Amino acid sequence: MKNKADKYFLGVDVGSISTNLAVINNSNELIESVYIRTEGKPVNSIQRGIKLMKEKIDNGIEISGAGSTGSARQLTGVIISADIVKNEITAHALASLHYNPEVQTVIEIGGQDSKIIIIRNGVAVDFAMNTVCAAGTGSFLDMQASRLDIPIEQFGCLACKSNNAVSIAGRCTVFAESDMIHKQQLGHSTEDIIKGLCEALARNYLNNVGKGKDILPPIMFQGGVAANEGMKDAFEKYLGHKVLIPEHYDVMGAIGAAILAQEEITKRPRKTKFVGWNIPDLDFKTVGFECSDCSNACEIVEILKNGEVIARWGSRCGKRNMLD
Amino acid sequence: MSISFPHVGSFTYVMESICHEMGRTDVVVPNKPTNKTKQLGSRHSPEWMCTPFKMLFGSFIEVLERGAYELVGTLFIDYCRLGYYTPIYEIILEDLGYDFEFLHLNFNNPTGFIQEMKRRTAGLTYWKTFRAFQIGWIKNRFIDIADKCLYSYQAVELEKGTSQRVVNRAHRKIVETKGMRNIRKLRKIIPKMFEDEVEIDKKADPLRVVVVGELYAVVEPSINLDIMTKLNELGVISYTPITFCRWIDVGSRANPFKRPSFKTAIKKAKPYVEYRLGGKTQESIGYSIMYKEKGWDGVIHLYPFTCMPEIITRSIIPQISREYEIPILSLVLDEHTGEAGLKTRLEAFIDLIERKRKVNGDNIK
Repeated sequence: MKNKADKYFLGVDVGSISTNLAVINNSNELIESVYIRTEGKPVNSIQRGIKLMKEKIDNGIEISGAGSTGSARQLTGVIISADIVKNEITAHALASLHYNPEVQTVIEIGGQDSKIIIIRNGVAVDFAMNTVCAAGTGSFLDMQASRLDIPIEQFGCLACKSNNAVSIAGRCTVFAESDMIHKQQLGHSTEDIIKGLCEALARNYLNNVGKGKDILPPIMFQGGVAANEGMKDAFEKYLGHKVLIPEHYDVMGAIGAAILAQEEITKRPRKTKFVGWNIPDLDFKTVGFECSDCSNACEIVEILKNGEVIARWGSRCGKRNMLD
Repeated sequence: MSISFPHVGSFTYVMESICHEMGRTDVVVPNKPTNKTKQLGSRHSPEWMCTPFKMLFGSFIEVLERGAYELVGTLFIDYCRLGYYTPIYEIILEDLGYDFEFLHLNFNNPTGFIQEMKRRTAGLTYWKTFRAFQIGWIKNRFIDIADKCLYSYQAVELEKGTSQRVVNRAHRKIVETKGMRNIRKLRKIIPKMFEDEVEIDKKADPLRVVVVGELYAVVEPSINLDIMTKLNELGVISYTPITFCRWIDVGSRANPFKRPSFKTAIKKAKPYVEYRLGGKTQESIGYSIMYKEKGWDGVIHLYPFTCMPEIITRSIIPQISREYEIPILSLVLDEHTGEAGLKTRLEAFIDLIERKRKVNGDNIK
């Protein structure tokens, strides 16, 4: 599988809930992937992720290019010295197109946001993200699973066991939660409530994020929530089409970032800036302080690598910003 | 008895000029809204009020703290809540115990408007008062020109920050120029300043994106997190046709030989929205179509949270986008300061139109 002529590219996707890493070769085939939880400490989780990845693949593997994406892409970009830092929408669109060039709609539900990407003839033509509310995203499902004391991995399977979904308001998580509690106190079974919740979230997604969009098959469903079979069934019910789930649905962002890095290096050949596999041994620290030069009171963050400032951002006027 | 007004993007300079022309020397010029302004405004506003109301209110409180007494306000029949801003401000400010007086400028009643203005001047005649207002609307045109230059040059400038420095000087120059003959010369001077001083990347082929939406959300950088500059940083020329000219440029509206662009925009929007709804519903829709026809690459639609007219626009936009094949991105703005989400959406949007342009270009070849 591993030829000497092959080049390898690393993609890192650090989101609110999970940190994913993927290594691909220059024909965009996935070699290895890592999926861990961010647990609120992105720097830490990048180091852990790199360490795990290092253990999984041959030590001698040389990375020819690295890309970062996800909501912490800027931070990740600095920590691993990525060659390209791109938003997750582009990354997801690319990864889905790689798996199925025919795909016309991508549904992606992550930890804090949900998005829809409309693709026509292999080019993303439109997208939408949830606006002011996080209802229907992974973190809400996570919260409900822990409230019901069910491991999140089994949450989806439970929904499939029910044939009778209870109706739950999906517009707002606060309403949804009080609805769920009400139904549970009336004596409905947990399975029915979970199925109801999945349907409510799918409805909310289609009315909110998917509003006015032309959802055509093939439809691909990815992101952490795609592990939830209940959600897949609910989408199939409302869309009336089969919903495809790619094999590596949970690391699609990282694969996209790796593909982006591969494209970038092929387009402008150069030596990668990637720090190397010793990232877990380096000492990273972030220091935050409030600027007091005006009443904006911007919160400035400094990133230190082995005691040396490598980046600083957060000021609105740009005075204190120092990007690598 | 100092006079003051809230901060509304670069229109602030126009208001400053009008107050000076009115013979007032005691003008309290508002600061740029900061985080504190946002917090002040939203703390004392009704919860479900529009975001512009909260921001303007914060600005009012700040100028009152700095010793202003007379505040420029409007009171007129509008299509949305905007017309009733001033009475609500009065009630809340009275409750908070401030000493103030509002100017009730009524756009529905031109005679009353001038009378109210004259009362506040330093003893000017009606003609002189009208003249002061006229200077305001003429200077507004040059402010628009300066902003247009800024957001085009900034996208392709070689040394970061040059355009910003030039525009600061240009704004000051517009405010300080006196005498109608000198003011009229600004039309040539302002673009010349940019041409001479900003070094641009001549090889760049930037994308062009037009920003439409609610007036305040578009013109005030502190509510839209400086979206125009953010677009420039991505190497995109941004421009907004939505300015105060519809409100105050009486001259171009009365000119029978000129057709203001907003009238064309409204005509284009007629098949979708027949009546004026307040906000900038018809203009937002019309301009999106107009600029697509002019060959621009994309449209960004901004609307403040709970803005009724723009929510209507938001629901018509997917149809426009489909029928005219324009990529349109709708962004909702609130008091939030989280720039990450906004940046992700902008970057993805620009990526999308860039890739689209590349594919179209390949097809033509």
